[in-house]
Amino acid sequence: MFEGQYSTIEITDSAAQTGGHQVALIRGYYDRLQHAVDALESDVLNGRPEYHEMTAVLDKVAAGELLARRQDMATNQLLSHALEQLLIRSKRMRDTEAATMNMRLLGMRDGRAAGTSLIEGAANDLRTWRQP
Amino acid sequence: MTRRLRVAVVVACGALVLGAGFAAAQMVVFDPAVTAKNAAIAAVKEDVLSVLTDQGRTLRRMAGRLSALTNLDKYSLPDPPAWRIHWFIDDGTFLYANPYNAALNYGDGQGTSFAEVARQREPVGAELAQLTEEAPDALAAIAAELATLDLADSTIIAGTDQTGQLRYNGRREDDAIGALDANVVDPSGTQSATAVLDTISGAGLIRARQQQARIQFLAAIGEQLLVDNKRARDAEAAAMNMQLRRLRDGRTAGLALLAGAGDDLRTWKQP
Repeated sequence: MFEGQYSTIEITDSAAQTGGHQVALIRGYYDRLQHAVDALESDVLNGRPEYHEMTAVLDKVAAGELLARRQDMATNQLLSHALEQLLIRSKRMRDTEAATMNMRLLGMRDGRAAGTSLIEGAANDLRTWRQP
Repeated sequence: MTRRLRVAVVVACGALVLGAGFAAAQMVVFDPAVTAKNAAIAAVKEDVLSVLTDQGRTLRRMAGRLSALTNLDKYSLPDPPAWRIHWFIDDGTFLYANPYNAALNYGDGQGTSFAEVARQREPVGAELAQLTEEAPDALAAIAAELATLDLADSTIIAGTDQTGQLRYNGRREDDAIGALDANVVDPSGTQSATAVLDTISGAGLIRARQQQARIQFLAAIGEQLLVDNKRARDAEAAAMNMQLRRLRDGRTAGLALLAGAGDDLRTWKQP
């Protein structure tokens, strides 16, 4: 039981460290991505006709795909950390529920015997008590 | 005349006669049909040459890469954020969470790592069977809570396995994007339009893989939210049931309690 609770704290720590680091890296990466997107916009909207020949346009499409793949990878990384946070939260709640359910099942199974034993023991104590 | 002179005169006369014969054969012949045909052929050839020249110029213009106009390195973004792993080496950093951290890195379809860190559940025995007749409402409430626990266990195991496998696969995806990066920014003039289309096709494949991964992430996130919502909804339903029963039977129960207590007080005798 103790190990389960302690492991929840450890897993929370690990996910928080990794997630925080990842978010910070992606925030730093965001600026570089933004510059590349700005450069692509400049090429796409360039007024010179050479920029709009077939292979040049295909090159721009390829560049746009490359940037999109970088963005998608960052998106999936963020999603993975969001999922990890939800998994840990769910584990914490699930452990609490399991503890409550265990107490209830044990109470139903052994509660009557334990109560009877308690009362019998107390009554016996009262009957047999003598002033010291 | 000497003999030598006579021979020379005869040769000269022969040459003169032969030359006169050849000169008589050089007649000017003019055929208008042949001339017109040759002129038409020459005009067609000139047109073909002009068209081919235009086509070549157009094709060369169309084949001109963007790298001839601008530096493609601006699209290269090396050193992207890597898919980091959770520390799972047994060196004392974490005491109990290492198996589950490893599952978050590499997946665990069997759920053994989750079983190692999750609170153990008491097995359900005959104690619930007696509720079937005695208190079916209580049995239903407990069954719903047990179902929530089953759902939570199942979705946590599946979600952990999913995110672990996708995190592990992320490194290969990163390598593939690196290769795509190299191809996209390659300024070589030998890269044809078809080669660029092949690069775009490769990027499309990576996109499909990434979107597949995103669907898996979103499905796992959706499942976690669904279990959360079921838990909250069950708690709300229990509170609402209590409220409705209080509204329905509260007055009667209160009056019965008061009447019973009054009756007890009135009829109580010292033992």
